[in-house]
Amino acid sequence: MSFSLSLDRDQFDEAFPFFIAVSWSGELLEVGAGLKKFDPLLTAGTNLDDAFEQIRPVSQKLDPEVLSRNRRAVYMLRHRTSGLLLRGQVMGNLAMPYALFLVSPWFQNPEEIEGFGISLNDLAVHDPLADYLLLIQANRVALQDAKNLASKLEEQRLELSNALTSLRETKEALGVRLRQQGLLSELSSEALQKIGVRDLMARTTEIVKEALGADITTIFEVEPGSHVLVLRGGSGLAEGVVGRSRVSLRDGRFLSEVFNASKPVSHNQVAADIEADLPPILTFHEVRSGLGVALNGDQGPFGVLALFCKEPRQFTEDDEGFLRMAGFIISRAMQATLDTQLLNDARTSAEESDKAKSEFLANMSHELRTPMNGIIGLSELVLEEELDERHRSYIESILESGVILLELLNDLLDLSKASSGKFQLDEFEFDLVECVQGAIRVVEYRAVENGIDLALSMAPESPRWLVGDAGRLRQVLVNLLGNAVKFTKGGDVEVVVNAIPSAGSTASLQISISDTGIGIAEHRQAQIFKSFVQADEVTNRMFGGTGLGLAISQQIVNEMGGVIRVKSEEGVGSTFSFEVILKLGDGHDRESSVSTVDAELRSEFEQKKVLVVGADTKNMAAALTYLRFWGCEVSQVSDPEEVPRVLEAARMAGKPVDRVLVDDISHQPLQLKWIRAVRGDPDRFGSPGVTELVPIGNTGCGECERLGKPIDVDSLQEAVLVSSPSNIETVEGLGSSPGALPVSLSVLLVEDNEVNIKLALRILEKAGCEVQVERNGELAVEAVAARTFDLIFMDLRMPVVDGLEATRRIRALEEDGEEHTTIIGMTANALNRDREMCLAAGMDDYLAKPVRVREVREVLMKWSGDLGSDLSGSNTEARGVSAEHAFDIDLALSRMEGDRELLGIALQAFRETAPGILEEMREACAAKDASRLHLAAHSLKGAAGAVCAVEVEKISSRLEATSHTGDLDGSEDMVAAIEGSLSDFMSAVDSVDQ
Amino acid sequence: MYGLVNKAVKGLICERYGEETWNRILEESGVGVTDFVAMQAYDDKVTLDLVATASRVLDAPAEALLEAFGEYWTIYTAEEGYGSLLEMTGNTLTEFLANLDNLHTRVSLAMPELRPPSFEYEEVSERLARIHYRSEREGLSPMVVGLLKGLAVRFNTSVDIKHVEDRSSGSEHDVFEVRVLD
Repeated sequence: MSFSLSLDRDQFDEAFPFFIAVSWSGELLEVGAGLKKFDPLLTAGTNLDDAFEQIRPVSQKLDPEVLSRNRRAVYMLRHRTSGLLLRGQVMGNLAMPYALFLVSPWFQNPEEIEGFGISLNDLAVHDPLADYLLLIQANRVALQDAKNLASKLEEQRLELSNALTSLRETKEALGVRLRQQGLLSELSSEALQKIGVRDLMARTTEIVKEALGADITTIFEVEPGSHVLVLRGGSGLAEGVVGRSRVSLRDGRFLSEVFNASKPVSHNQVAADIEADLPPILTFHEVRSGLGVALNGDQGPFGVLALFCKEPRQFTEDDEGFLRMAGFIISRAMQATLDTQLLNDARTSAEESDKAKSEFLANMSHELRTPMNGIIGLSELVLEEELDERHRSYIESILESGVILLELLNDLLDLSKASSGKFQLDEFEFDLVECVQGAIRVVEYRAVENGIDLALSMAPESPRWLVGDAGRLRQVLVNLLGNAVKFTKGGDVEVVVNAIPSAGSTASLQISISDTGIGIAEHRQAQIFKSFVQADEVTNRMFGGTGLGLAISQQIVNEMGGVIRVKSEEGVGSTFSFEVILKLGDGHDRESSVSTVDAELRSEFEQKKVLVVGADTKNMAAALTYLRFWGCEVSQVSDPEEVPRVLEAARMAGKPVDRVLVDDISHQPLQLKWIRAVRGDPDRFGSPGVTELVPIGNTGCGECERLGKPIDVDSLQEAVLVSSPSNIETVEGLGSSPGALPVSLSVLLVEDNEVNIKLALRILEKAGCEVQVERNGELAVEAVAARTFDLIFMDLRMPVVDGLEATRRIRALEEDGEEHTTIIGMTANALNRDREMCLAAGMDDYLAKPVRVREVREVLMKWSGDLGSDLSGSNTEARGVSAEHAFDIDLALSRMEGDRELLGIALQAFRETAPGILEEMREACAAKDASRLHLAAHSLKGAAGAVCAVEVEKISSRLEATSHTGDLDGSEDMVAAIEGSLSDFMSAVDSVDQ
Repeated sequence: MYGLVNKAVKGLICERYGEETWNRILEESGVGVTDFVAMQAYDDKVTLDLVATASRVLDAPAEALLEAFGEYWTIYTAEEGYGSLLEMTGNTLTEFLANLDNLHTRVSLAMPELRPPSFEYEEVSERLARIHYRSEREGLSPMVVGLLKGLAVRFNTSVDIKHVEDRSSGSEHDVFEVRVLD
């Protein structure tokens, strides 16, 4: 089927509702229905150019030829009155009578449609205008979306950026806070509070300055008793201004305003001329803003903490908060530091004053000892001269006073040593029994004088050997006993000793000393252990004494880890007791108690029958305890008249009584009656030994054996086992006075004090020494270089070269070939430290001043021994035999009839017993007990003779003779000589043994 | 669905219930998107999840929400720049309804991924028309009711709308009768 286009006008309108037909002359012929609807005025005859403006092609004429040549041109017309654009093409050629514009509305945005009032139905259905418009709209929506998103993105970016900024700010603020917090903690740290106020202020101002970023920080403090703030510390200030800037608290300016405010005050008004408001020191720094807070103490504000900046600054609440906190901490710290400082100052000053007191005492005792040198020494020398009785008694009084004074000095020295912490306790094994007995012996004479029944009760099981400072322990006992005896007239004084072994090879030593004396008022009891305090002034006047004894004793016991306690009632008596923990000795049998007896002795004791008459005194009670402990068969009667009956009954029963123990018969003459009766009829009563307990110095009834009170275990054993105990006193005649101790040595005396020189010279010359004197260390060294001396006595403190230095130089000389010369240091400063210094400098020994005749002789004896055969002019009477010859083995063997084994046993026995006897001698000397000394010398003489300890025997024999007369002068020297000889003898025995 | 639809859902919820509720619905729906691009095609599930979540959160039947959405859609599109186009589409409700299908056809140039429903217009009488609604999607007929109501409001015309044939009740397609009242 062929196609022939046949469109009617309506159909054409439907397809091209906006067509325009134009004649070649440019007149409208017809327009489409849509266009007609749009502009009803477009009628035939209207000139095209009047109705439409040709936009494109720009200049193409409406001409058939042109149109036929250019059929593909896109035409754009604008409706002149509405501005509606029409777009399309033009059809026309020479064959056509008109040109046909096939155009339709053209919009570039959907909104235009509305203005033109065109609807979809006005357009051809095929017209894609609506589609395009939808597309455009979609683009616009998309664009809008993009814009929205972009702006949202921007918003978010801004938010993010803001968040970041705020985060950064927060972080920075946090950092600042943390830093401030850290600085605050530093401020409040204990370490900071322990530094001095000055350092504290320096550091705190530094911290506040750093924490708040200030240029200057200051601490002002009120000058005590004024209304002036003084600059006490600062950071960022010019040097040297602290202490110099002063601000009146009444000037109403910045700092005084801060001082009076309860909150921080800031000054940040630049215009207000802060400079005029500040002290010159700050204006000098050209500050422009400031913030301050008052420093508050317990009594209100005492200062100002203020910071300043060189730039104007608006201070924040945080700044104020920090400063407030810092101010609070600094206030506390400053107060605390001040308090601590005050406390420290007070303590330091107290300590210093105490130390000064101690040093003063030490110095005083030192200074006093020097003149004592003269008094005691020269008195001793004078007493060795021929004197009439009157002068002798004067001099003796001088000497006695000197000795008392010396004791007082020793007390003072002890105390000062204790106060300055220089007390040092020895640790040696010691015999508890001996220690206690030794103390008792010191006071027993006085006890007798005061009519006191002195008793000792030691728990028999107490360990006998302990480790500690026996000397100090004895000092305490002597002191407490001394007091007990001093303050008791005609009563009892009892020493109770108990040592209880405890865990870890230690023992608790408990000692109490009770008296029935005057007692101490309760309110005074706490004070009596203080230095220089006595129970009361009356006591002081009545009994004398230094008042130092208890203080020293307390110190000693404290050092031993114990406390002295007192129980006392006025008019009834006192009990002083203490307990210390000591180690058990290990050199002896651990099991050995104060009254242990070996098996052999025990079997002897078990066979003994003892009758105790009257056990109502402390001493008798103690005896009873011991006897039972040893296993004796003990019976008791309280009525003396019963004694004969008991003795008879025992005799009848075939078990006669071996010994009767009776207390001091001088107080109970009735006892003599039965003694005599029993003695008169041995067949009826047996032959019991009768032992009377008597106080020291008491001659007793003269009809029985005597045992000294208080009882010591060893003597009691002897009394029971041996018919004639060694400690029974016998009365013998007086002997002659002792001679000198002539030891001829060459001695160098180095001393600058003329009195001391005179004294020492006399002593040494009397001892037979050849003495050269030099007055300082330098001269001494020269003297030693020039010749040899046996001994050098060297003062420590001398001009030019002191004794220590001189000693060191002498020792240096000796290294170059000189022989070792014994050097004895001499100083009045009797502290142990001096001894150490002496030995450290190379001295061999040490002598405390004031130099005593006895001590010098002891030293001579001791050290001349080391000189051996070099002894010049050896005088064999006292000490002539050198160590090598101290033991003549041939002689000793001949005495033992050549029995080496027997000699060995004898020597061993001597070695074991001699030191004990020697100690007994020393104790006797100390106690001025001539009879004890006599007995000891006697027994040593015998023992020494047995083993041919010739020198020991010889000196003991002399001592025996002198002590027999009651003369104790020179006895100490002789004991010292015996010690030297004994030591020589033992060395000689040892060398022979080898 | 194009993002434009989802944006409209958001607009509706925000306008009626506030942005907080929208954010909650958005979050609880788990669609994983915080904002929509109008000219981007999203999976239908996004829209359906949003509606389902909104129904749950608002405690309202999905149908009611869809109807409300249909009504809101006419307002929304006009506000979003389609006003002139809507204007061009018809001067009266019936003229508009007659062009409704064309409108969906023409818009495919701008929205190439669109799978538009068809709205066949059947003029029964001067005052009564039947709209034959066909869609690949199911269950959106309440939205058509809302849409028709919205258009009626737009053209300030009182209408009575009846869902005369329902696909969910076995009909081939949904048919709505729109009767113009005085």
